[in-house]
Amino acid sequence: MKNKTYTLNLLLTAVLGIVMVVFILIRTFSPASFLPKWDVPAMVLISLVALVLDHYLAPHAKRCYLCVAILSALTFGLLPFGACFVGLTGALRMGLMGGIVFTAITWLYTSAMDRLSSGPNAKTAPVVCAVGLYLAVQVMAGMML
Amino acid sequence: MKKNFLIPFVSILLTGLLLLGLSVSLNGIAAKNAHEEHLSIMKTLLHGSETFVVEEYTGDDENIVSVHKAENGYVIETTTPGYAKAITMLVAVTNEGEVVGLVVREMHETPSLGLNALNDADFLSQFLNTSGEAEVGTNVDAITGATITSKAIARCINSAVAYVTGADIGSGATSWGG
Repeated sequence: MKNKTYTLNLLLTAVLGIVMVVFILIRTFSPASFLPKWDVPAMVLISLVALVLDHYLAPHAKRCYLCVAILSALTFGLLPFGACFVGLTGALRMGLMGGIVFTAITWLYTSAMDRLSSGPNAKTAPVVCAVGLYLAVQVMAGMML
Repeated sequence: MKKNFLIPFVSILLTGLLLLGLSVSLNGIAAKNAHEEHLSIMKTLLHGSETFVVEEYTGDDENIVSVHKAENGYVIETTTPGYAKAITMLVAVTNEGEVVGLVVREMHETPSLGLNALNDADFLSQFLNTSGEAEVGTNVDAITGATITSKAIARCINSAVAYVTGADIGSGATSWGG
């Protein structure tokens, strides 16, 4: 049985870590700037970047969705807390929300990519699929939130 | 598999610690820059002012966060509930009670509606030269589709003026909608 890999969660940590570093630098050197709102579409965007990178770096990787959920919840909760953007309660809320959002998006994206990853358009399919998913989430967020 | 799981787990912890270290180490610079930026904005809002003294606010108006007194007026930080979350503003008021500058510092209103108040010069300029009588629907036109946000901003400004002029918090200068 092929071992499950955790490249996706490593990439999520890297992407979110870079975003947090950028936010810290903006907060330090341009305090008047408005930082982007930290909501579901923002979490989905970060998730999709990690997913696209994961698809190119570790295609067809087997996933343990429970582990993906736990690690992503930890990532979305701990990193903003470490960067001092949220307190403990905020970190717990963001971790829970991030875990759910990331797991759901991972499942949706993986399902789509399993069907699109062959043929002449396979190379661009990950990016196109991610863009489509992000737009769909934006529309839903606009209607529901 | 356990070893594989530990790698991302440890990397998350390490990244969190690194971010904490970076945030703490830049804290001093961030605070200094934030203070300088705040001072720069206050000087821009209240032309002719050079130094500000923080005045302790002991009144009952919950909209007033802080008061900065200069030679020719005040810059008052106000906050009030908007449509989505609280709206924070800096309002410059002369010693005579006239609004000469204002800026929205923080808001999370609906994009393309209330959020337009951030940079809608036509809307914000209506409050200039008012003296606590700004009332949406009477002498102030609201932003289209953002009446609640517009009234919240009016309340912020009227609260600031009421502080300078000494108007009663129970008067129309500080009530909802102006």
